[in-house]
Amino acid sequence: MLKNTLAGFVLTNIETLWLYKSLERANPQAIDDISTFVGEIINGLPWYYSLPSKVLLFITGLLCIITTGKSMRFLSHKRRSVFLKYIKIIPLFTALNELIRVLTFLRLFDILPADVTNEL
Amino acid sequence: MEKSIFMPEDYSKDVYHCEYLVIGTGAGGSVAGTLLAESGHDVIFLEEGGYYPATACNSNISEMTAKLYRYHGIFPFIGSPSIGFAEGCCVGGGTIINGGIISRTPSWVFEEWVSDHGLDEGTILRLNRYYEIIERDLNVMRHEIEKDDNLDSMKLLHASEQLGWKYEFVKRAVKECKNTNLCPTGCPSGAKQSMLETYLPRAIKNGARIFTRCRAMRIDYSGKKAKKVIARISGNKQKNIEILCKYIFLAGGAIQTPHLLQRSRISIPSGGKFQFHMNLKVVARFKDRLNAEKGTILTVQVREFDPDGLLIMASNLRPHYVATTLSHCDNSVINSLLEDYQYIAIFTAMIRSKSVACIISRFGDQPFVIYKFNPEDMKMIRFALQKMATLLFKAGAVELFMPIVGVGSVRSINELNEKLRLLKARRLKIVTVHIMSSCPMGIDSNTSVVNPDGRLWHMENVFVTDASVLPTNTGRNPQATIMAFAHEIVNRHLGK
Repeated sequence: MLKNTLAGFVLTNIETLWLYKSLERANPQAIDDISTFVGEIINGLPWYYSLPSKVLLFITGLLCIITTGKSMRFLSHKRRSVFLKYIKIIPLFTALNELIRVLTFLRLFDILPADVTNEL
Repeated sequence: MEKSIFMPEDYSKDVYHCEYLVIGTGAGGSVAGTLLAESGHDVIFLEEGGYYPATACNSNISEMTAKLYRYHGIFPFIGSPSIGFAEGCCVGGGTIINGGIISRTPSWVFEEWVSDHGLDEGTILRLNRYYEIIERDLNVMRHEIEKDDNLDSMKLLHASEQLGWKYEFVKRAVKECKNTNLCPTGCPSGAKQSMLETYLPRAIKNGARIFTRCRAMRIDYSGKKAKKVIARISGNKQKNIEILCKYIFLAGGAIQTPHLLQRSRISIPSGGKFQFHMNLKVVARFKDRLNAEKGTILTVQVREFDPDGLLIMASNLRPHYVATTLSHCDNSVINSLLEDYQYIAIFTAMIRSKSVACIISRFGDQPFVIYKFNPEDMKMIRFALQKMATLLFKAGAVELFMPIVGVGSVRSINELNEKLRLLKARRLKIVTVHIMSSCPMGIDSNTSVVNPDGRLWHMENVFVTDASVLPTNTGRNPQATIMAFAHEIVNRHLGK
């Protein structure tokens, strides 16, 4: 569940970027690649950052399943956006999303296919 | 022949001996250990991070950030707003990931150190002499103007000339720069004269050993004398080793050095708090093509407001940095700027801030850092953003994206001023790369942590030779000053 919740966060942060469509075509495993990268970094943080992050991810994942019947990763973009709009009231949620967002961006541009980065 | 650089699999013994143990291989530690080794002493360097020479560096930013930085460059200072600290954690320390900028501490800061912290004029004179030695050792040069590259820096130059503002071509520690623009993730050509290219080879030539992936956990002492250091080797097989030594030179940086002392229960009543520089990053869109990714890291610094504690310069451009700098903006903004990638650049305002951070060592192995935002810094931040905007609009920028949550972009100074009127600190996006003065040098043991010899007041054989000893922040890139203090402390110790 944690993995799919993290993947849901990653998707939310990049699926509206124009680069993402090219990435998705070229690399269907891209979301897993980025989620693994982000997850490893969160695991490597000191316990007073990684533990609350994992607890928040768990709570978010659980709430998603309870309210929508699916993991965050498998929701449509619209349903995921609505869910996240309400989940923002959870304390420290914004900080967690910001952390995941920054790490996602850091990894995203390293796994883009060469023809996309050449377009820049 | 005994190994010089130890990897995790090389630690066959549980106990090692040396005369001098230098903890940290950044700017200060490398100088200290090298001078000691060249004077004929037996030196071991302890380095928590890994060993990544130029051949191990590449353009994969996420991979290199993982290797070269602590926590992938996202060490947060908790406060309002939280601040991200990007700290080097590898052999060579911050000199592997910085821009190689070599600046001297300005005279007004030296005057503060003399009048408020009791440093004597003789020390200041010697620091200035050491700058010359350092600049020679690091092949320091001013970057030449490149015709078609570094156009972002050239924009600052031309705008400064039009406004009548002072600017300077920065001095950098480089040799035959290949202009890869990869300074923050390790120079792949070896052109940047980091400690790995300069001092550390000299130390190794004189018999010094570098223990990598080796984190100092505790200093064991008896009375006022340190006896040994317990260190943990990271990697697949974690194990502890002991290093027995006569002297310890601490150079783990302004957070890790006091953290180690506090964990070791070595009292530092005036320590554990530090100052830092605040960096505000602005993304600017121009009508002209800049190709800001081409050319090396910034070459021009606007110094008009240097006495106020403000420097303005261009910053590395990569799509990663555009997105992370604007992570507080909607994806539509990032999309738009990536479409105009050839027309954008990132600029940084570096502020000599008054806010103070505090290191808490009670939560286990790693330190926890909190800070209190000083209201005086808000005035400085407004001033910095206004000056930055004035400069960039003069340079031809048509739109600026500010490091302020909820502000979006501005297209004129008036629009910016309107948005700054109601600015709250918690909405700011601030990062830092320079931290210092957590174990300040001084003449009073009640207000400083180390004496003018760089020795801990209450320990006979423990010295500090990193950014911790600077009495205050400097408002300039601190590498040269850290190295100069290391020269001073070691030379005083050796009686030179």
